[in-house]
Amino acid sequence: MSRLSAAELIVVPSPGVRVGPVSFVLSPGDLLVLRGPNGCGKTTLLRTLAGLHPVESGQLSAPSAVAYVAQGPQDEEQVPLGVDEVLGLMQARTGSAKSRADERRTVLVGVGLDGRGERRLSTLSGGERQRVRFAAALLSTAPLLLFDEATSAVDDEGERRLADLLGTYLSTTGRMAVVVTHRPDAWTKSSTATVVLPDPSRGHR
Amino acid sequence: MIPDVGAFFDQLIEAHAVLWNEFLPAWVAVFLAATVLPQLGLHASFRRQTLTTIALPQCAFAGMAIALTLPIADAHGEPHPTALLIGVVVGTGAGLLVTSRFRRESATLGVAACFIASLAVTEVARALSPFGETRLEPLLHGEVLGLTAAKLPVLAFLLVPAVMTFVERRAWLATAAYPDSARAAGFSIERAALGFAGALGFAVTLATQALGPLITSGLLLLPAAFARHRGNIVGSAETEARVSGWLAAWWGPVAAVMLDIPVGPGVVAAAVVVGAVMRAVRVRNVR
Repeated sequence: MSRLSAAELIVVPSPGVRVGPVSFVLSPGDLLVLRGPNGCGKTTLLRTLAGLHPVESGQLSAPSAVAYVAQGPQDEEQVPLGVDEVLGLMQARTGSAKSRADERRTVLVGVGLDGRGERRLSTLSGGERQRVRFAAALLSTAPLLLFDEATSAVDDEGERRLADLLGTYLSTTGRMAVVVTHRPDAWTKSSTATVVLPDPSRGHR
Repeated sequence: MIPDVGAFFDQLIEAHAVLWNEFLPAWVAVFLAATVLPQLGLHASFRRQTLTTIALPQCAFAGMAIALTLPIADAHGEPHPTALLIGVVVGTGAGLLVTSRFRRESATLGVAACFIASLAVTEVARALSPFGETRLEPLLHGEVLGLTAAKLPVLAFLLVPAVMTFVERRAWLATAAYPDSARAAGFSIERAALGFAGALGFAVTLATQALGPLITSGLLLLPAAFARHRGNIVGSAETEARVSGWLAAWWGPVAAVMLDIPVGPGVVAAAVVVGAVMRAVRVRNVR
């Protein structure tokens, strides 16, 4: 699977509420920015791309395994993970333990968390935790990366840094990404396409 | 009064000699249980299933107690081992089934009810069973020094869930901490949940039928509780739970011989002391 394509895709977050139709095609190296007002169905659409929500109608062709960074921390608080442990959970088991550790260190430097590998996740700020989850996604081997407001707590400069990092990562690895954000300016340089979902209060759903 | 340190160490050495020469199978059995139960207790807490681990040994024991009320005996007039095994498996299975049906808010009451019902069933069965005094009471108190070497091959199967905690560790942690991300990445939430429940049920079944509910619960809960209480990250907590479980398995039977008490309270006391000491020493903590 080298492409992500959606044709007239419609999803239903809850009974009586429709999102779409939405159409787009992503090729290797592409980064799609998904925008829209609160409650317009961005998360539901992203979960559908991740295989976590059913397609109501239309066509969707997506890789079977994706790296998905959810909007919230999920059940992260329940498990006292260290930063390096979080990265290890999603990292592919290829190469030696040392090369994997080096890779984790390199990614941490890339997201601006150099030297924090031994820290417990709960001791980091909200923005730093988002950087950790972002880094974990970069360590997976999935061909498609999905970020649901994954940088909402990161400062402006940090978000630009992550956007640039992801853009470079995609162009060198040939993977694809969909990013949900309310601050599209930071992603202008690295994005290749933008989809804007309509305001639900205007009856487009 | 100045304690006689020399006499204490003499007693300590003698207790080790007695355990080694006369009760080695029981000592080994407790070690085997301590190899797996603290890890499972820790992962249960990550998966919000601590309440299940509290109820499960008692459910398993209730199943065994019911089996001992049935008129099934082997050629020597002893309770038939197959009937006991079926009883403990049914008890554990029923416990898993009941506790898995409760989620979040209703879990506290539901699992507590399961625990209390199991206690009541055990007491009734103990009163009705001809083996109530000879088999059930000693196990209930953790009087296991009489355990024979014949039980060890069966208990060696405790190493199966121990290996599972290593092999499935990543999937269990990923699905517990980041269920959506894990599912999207190809981990099966259902497989992880089923695998963990299977490992927990298997370990509790084996440990309870040989060592009773007190030792099983003590090793399942106490090392994990202390390891988590110190605020360790997962890797450190796992190491600490494993080490404190083994130390409790070492010192519990020693304390039982020295103080002439059942092994059950000895293991529980040792687990508490070891946990408290490790917490005080703070061997390694990540800021």
